[in-house]
Amino acid sequence: MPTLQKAEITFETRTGSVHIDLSPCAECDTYACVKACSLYGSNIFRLTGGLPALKMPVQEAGKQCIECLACELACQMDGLDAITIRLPIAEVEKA
Amino acid sequence: MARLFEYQGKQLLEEVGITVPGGAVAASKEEAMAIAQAQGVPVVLKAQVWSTGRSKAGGVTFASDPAQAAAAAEKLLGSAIKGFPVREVLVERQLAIECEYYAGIIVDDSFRVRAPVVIFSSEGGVDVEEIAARAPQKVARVAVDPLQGFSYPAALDLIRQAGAPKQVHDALAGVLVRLYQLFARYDARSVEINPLVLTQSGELVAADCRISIDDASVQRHPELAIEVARESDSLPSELDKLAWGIEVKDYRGSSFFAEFGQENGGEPRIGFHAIGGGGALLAADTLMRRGMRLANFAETSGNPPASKVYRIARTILAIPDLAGYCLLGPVLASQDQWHHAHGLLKAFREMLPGRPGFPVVIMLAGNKEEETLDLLRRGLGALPVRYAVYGRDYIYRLDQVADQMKAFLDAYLAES
Repeated sequence: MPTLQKAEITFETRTGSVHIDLSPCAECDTYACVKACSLYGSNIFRLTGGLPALKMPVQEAGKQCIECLACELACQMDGLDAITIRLPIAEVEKA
Repeated sequence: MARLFEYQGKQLLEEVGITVPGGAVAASKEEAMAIAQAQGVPVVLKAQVWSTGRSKAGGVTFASDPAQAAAAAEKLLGSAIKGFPVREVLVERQLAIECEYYAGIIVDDSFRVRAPVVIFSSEGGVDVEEIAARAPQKVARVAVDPLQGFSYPAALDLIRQAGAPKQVHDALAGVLVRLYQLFARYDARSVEINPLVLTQSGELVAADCRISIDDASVQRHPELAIEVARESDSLPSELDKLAWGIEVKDYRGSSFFAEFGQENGGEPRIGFHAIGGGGALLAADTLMRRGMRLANFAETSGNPPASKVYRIARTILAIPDLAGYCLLGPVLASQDQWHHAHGLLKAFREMLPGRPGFPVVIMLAGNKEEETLDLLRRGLGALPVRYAVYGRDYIYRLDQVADQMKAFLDAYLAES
């Protein structure tokens, strides 16, 4: 089940899941994830107190996310590497 | 078209009441021996491979007793017929042949027809095209209205037209009508019985058959246990099955993956990923003309999400001992290409940090192209790989792109 906790955001997407560890986000001033979602994705993030937050309940966010993967790459390249998107393909992952 | 093996096709023929020779499929010499014993008569052993001309290639042998059947099965199993490995053999009783016919139904999707066409020939056992060229009066065909179906009187007309002897008209018409029932029930693209044998005892028996199911209908027939609903000459590899699962579970955009040359003996191969059917083939040819060997053929288009592109890229990168990755989309694709960039970069970031110097060449053209190429340059620039990215300016300069891939590959192989 999708959960929203204080130090993290986790939600299920259509074929995977997004996990954001919010602990480093206070140090980030690029907001790369929010901008990337707005440009490439379905614009489900906003900033709240300088931290990324969902504009909607997690279930709804999971439905609206188009799995563009842009937030993860933007956070890795311009942020603090706080986002992990899991897209299971078990057999390949073993390889 | 998803093909069935001969023994699977014969199970369906039996289901609709068409007689097939007694027998069963064997995966070992012991099984073959037991089947031959059960038949109690001379048997024929037929390699189960998706290839025509098995007989000339040594894939069909005869045995007069169970011990001979076991020896013949041992020889066939594990061998290769026309390059396809034999995993099973069909062991059947031999038929005493009086004469041979051909019966088939195919979907003719040409503009003038667009319907199933029932074909009957009063001569069988060889390619029906050959008979039609040599003796056209022996081959008759009729297009069928799928809403009306194929009737017994229509079958009689066809058989009479092809000049079959009158005493077998009724029996042949019965076979054709039942064959059409099978064709419709299983959403087939083609069903063929060749030869349809009239035995010396007056029985009509389907001695050999070929059945292909419409790819789009395979999901309606779980009973056929078709793992990958795509035409292929061989059984799907584990990665083929995995990639098919990606497509089945996510209908956004489309993806295709086929693994090649699993018995290549360690020759360096590159992963090939394309966009656009015709352009993709052209791109593959351009690479191969330079002596590069492809490990696979993959295609993603129809505006797939980045997650789907990622999964296909991961599947390609899971091919053992890959010596490079080449994505060529020599078309102005009407899809936002940055989703491809994000999917690829996620896969590359996960899989390539441990492969220094690994060659990566990418051509993406279409919507959001400049942003896409910028993303790729930035993402690939952070990895320890050799890379080059190209856009629309190179669609008609594929030779240069392929030369670059070859240069990267040679340099990479020289280092390793």
